[in-house]
Amino acid sequence: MSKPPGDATVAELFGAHAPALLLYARQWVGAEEAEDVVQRVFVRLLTGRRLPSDPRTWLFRCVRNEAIDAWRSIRRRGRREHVAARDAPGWFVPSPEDGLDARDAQAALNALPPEEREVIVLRLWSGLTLSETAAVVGVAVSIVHHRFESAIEALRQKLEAPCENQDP
Amino acid sequence: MRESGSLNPPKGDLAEALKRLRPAPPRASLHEVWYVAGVEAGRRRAVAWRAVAAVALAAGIALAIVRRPTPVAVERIVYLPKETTSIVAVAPQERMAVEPSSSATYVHLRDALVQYGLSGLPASLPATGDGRPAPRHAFPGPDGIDAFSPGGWYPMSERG
Repeated sequence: MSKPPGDATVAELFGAHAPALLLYARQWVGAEEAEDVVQRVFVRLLTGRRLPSDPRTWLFRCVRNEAIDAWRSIRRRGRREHVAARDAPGWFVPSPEDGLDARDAQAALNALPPEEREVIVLRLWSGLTLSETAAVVGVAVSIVHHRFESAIEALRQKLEAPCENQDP
Repeated sequence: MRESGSLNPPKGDLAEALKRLRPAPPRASLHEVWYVAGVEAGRRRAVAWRAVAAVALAAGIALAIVRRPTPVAVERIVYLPKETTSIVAVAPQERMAVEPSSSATYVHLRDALVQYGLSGLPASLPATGDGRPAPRHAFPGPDGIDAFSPGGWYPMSERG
């Protein structure tokens, strides 16, 4: 903690990490709730008295806690979020330049166990190191490394497998 | 543990391909975040001011209670007239002696009549209780003699 967060600092953090934070929050909740989660975290950052020493890690940790709380709240309310999630926008912006199809990648990620999917999202799209990911998730670095290896292997098998309905 | 380069080539290529996917940006802009933060800050400030006002009010009330002037006991000597107190103390008994009730008079006369006969009756007319003398015809004696006549009892024909 050093000084109050300035507008430029917050704008820079928002521009750099908001999409990854939104993607991270969507590992637990739907699109609408994930937007609220990210907004609440940035509001907390703006209204806070001091800027965290490591703002990036702080943001992802706060998003994780907020998203898990929101997920529990939704589960208590009766899973109404799942109905709305069917029409929600995708996790990624589709682009013809990408080597992978965004929907396939989202489907493959969705098939992963939650703890592995969380590590993949943090490592690939948030740019966090292994130690930073371990700090956010709250486990040892070795466990994060193991989960990352397992997740990549599972994704490779799923994404590189030939489609079953495709004609030879 | 190495931070990168631990993946073998196929896994590394897949990781690079996945990394090129761009996450969807949030629909809320930074301006909306700032607006919500401003509203939140205003609400916090209002709550803080209310808390400060409540504390100040409570402190004021407590101070007023603590610094309240204690009541001063004033000692005075009050002289009461002696006659007034004696009259007040004796008056009920005296009044009872002077003005006996009619039932008491009746009982007294009855006892005197039983014990001494007609000679035991008083010489004066007994009062009725309200200060007026009893009517003479109210207590006629035997043979038409008034039992309560002033000089003893005598025939009613002798009265004027």
